[in-house]
Amino acid sequence: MQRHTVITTFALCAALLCTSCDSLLNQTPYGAFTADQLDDQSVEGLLAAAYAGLNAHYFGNNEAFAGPSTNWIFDVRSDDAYKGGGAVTMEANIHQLEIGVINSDNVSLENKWQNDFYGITRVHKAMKALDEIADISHREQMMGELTILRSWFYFDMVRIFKHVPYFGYTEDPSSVRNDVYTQDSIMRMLQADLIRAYETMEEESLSPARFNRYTAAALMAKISAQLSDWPNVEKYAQIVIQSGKYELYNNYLDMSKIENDNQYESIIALQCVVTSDFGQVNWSNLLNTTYSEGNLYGTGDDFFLASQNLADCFRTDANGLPYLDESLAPAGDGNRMNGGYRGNIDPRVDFTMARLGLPFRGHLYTRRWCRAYDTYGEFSGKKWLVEPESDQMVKGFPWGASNLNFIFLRYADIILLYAESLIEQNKNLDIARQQINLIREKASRSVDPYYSPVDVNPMISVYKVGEYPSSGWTQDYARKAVRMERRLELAMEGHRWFDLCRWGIAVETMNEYYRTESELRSYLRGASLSAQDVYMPTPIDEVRTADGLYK
Amino acid sequence: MYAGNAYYDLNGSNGTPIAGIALASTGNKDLRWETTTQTNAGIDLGLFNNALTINFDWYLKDTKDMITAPPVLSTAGEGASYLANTGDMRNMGFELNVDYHSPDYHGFSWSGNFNLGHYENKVVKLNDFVNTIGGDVRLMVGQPMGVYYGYVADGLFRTMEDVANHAEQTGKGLGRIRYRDIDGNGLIDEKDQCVIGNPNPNVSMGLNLDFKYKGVSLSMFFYSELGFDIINSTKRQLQFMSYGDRSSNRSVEILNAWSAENPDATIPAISATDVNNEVRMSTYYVENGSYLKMKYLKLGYDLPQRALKPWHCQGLNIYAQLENVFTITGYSGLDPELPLGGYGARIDNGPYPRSRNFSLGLNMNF
Repeated sequence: MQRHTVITTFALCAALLCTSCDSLLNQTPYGAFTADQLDDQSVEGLLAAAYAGLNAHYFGNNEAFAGPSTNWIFDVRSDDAYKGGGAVTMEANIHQLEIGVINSDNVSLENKWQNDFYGITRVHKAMKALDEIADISHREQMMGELTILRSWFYFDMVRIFKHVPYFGYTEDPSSVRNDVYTQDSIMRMLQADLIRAYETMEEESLSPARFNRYTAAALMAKISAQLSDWPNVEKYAQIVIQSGKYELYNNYLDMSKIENDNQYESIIALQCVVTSDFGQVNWSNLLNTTYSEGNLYGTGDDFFLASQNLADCFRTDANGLPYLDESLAPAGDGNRMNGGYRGNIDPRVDFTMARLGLPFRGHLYTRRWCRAYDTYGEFSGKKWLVEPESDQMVKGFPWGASNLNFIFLRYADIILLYAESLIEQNKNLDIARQQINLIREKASRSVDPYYSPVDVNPMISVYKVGEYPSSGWTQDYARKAVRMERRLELAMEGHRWFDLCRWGIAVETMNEYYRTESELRSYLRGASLSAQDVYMPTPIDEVRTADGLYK
Repeated sequence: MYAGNAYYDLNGSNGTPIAGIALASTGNKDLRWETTTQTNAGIDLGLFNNALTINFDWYLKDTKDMITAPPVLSTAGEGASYLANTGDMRNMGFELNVDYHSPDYHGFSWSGNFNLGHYENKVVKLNDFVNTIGGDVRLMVGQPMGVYYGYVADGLFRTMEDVANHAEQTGKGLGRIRYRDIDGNGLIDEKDQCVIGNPNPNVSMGLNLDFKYKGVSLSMFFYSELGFDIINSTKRQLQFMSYGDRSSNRSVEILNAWSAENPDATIPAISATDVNNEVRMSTYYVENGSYLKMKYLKLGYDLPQRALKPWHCQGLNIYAQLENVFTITGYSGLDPELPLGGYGARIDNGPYPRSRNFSLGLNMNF
């Protein structure tokens, strides 16, 4: 008995056979609006989507915290912070960044790349719609807002990646190479765009969440600083300062209060809002919620802790000034900054990181709050968390999520950039000193032990912040002072790594940090950073897909 | 177009966000069914008055226009990926089935069924853009479906000379895993990855045996898969102190980890850190999963008809059955028989192991 069969099956979509010639010639484009579909409301929808790109939350939670818009993983790359969590291998890709190992298959690279380009694409779609629609109010203003968003995403890219494909909203990106422009030349194009936005936009934004001409000026100052283009930093920072739109917080804690969203120092901020599906909470910082005792903050994952190196910077001398000369700082393990330190300190430490024995938003912070004390120590980050009793905080997952905005660009940053621009140009050094002292005054008035939710305890800690005197205020000393002040004021807000890069000291700073910090944190032993790894390679998946287009 | 993560509190009021408009996905109106061409050739043999039957079936199955989602550049934006008929795959293999029923030898009889299957599959084409999709488990042109991809672990560094003579490898040191420099450029990096395993078995076999003597029956079933690889991911948790929470449990094996006093060990030195990135995908986690299992053993007894008469019962069978009797395998994990993951991968993340069940039963027919 023998059998032999050949079975052949074919199937074709029947619809194909029914297509008429007419419908083939008159097609509605996919994934885009046609001009007659556009109106004020759809443009607002496209604009909302473009702004929502700031959340870096496109398709999954992991992609948001592995490629976060808050850039906490870059604070982890710097000398400011540890990855944290339960162990070094949790989110091992971020551990690799922490120890200076940069491979093109690290998923944080791919996620960061993807999130920024998704943001850019949303902006471009909205820009195209603005071009096509005939009748729309606030066209120039909205174009300006989109320009700022686009600049923000591109600025984020070029601070991170060596080779970035750059294209405008009318170009097809599929044939754009990533080796046409250098990082600096892209930033110079962004500068030109932002100047135009500044010149065409209104004084007032269309809502507290949205941008105005001073937002453009502030980002112009920030990008110019990355280029060491000091005259433009000075010019545009000054414009922001003189606008009268912004003012320093009365108390450093105010940045972590929901009622201050979009006020005082907030220039560019992610609008966080708790809705039933949690779509617009701060997903980038999802893991960065303290472990807490008694589930005060749910089951926080306790990632992103301050380093000892950062904590030590908050010690102040007899005059209330930071130890700019490390050799004069109190030495030895007994003099490390922690909950037990009894020397003078800057109160900003207690709004930035947790210390054992001190209050954490009104609750005593103990060893039980520390998820992996032996590995990562005690300094859980605080800035993005409100008090657990708040009715605007989620109870449960996502842990610690609330209506508190995350500020990407803060007025204090602009003031310090202004001071830095004067110092680098070696002119008006005394004005620079006064500007830095404004920031220090804010710190010194942030010690009210009854200001709720309480994070300071003057019964335990000696808070002392002094202002820099005019004597001895040379350019060299002022440069050290302003760099330290940036570190203290903006700690764990995603700026430190990029500051180290623009100052050209990332490699030496990190290798010295690895050497000293590894005495305390054994997992840093053997870590090192090489010059070619400061900026990241193009993610390997993009290189493969680009088929020769990308380096 | 959808709201999803595109909505935003554009008013800054902490109130209801504005619905955003973004591209959720891109359609492809040219999408059609995949096409399968299958060729079979078979032999059916019946011998000894059909007491012994043998079936042999050979097949070649070509799948054309397989639906894949070709990767798109991120610069195209979210939702730009679409499904398209781009892939080709070939499956070739055979199945052999042997069945035997013995005559009755004074109340004793036996029967047996043996089957054996073998297949080879190959991804012929994915799409015009890439020849690989996936991470640790991949579809790669020219390879079987679901191959494992990663580094080759060449044992441990045992002497300082080993360490010094090896390529540049971040975190290398005594007692640490040595990764092979595949491209020979003196640097261990992501280009040193290659195909390191295959989840598809060379052979799978089943054997069913039934023995009968008067009312007593004994039956058993054996199952075996040979020549396939498992990613034993449980080793990450069991052997590396740096993996997972510090307080979590480890395997007793790590007492035999590498140390200066135990230089021949194969388990890396105990460390709370992982500078060498040893949790990365490598052959350290890939093991041969070949196994032979006795899936069940059943002893039964049919009570004689006359004994049943007073009960108005037509048949009564009592039996004892043991499931998952034993496993013969060289695999170090709990159970080499694993649920299949994406692309048919066999990844051991420590699923709950199959239990050995002992049951006693009674079947009555009225």
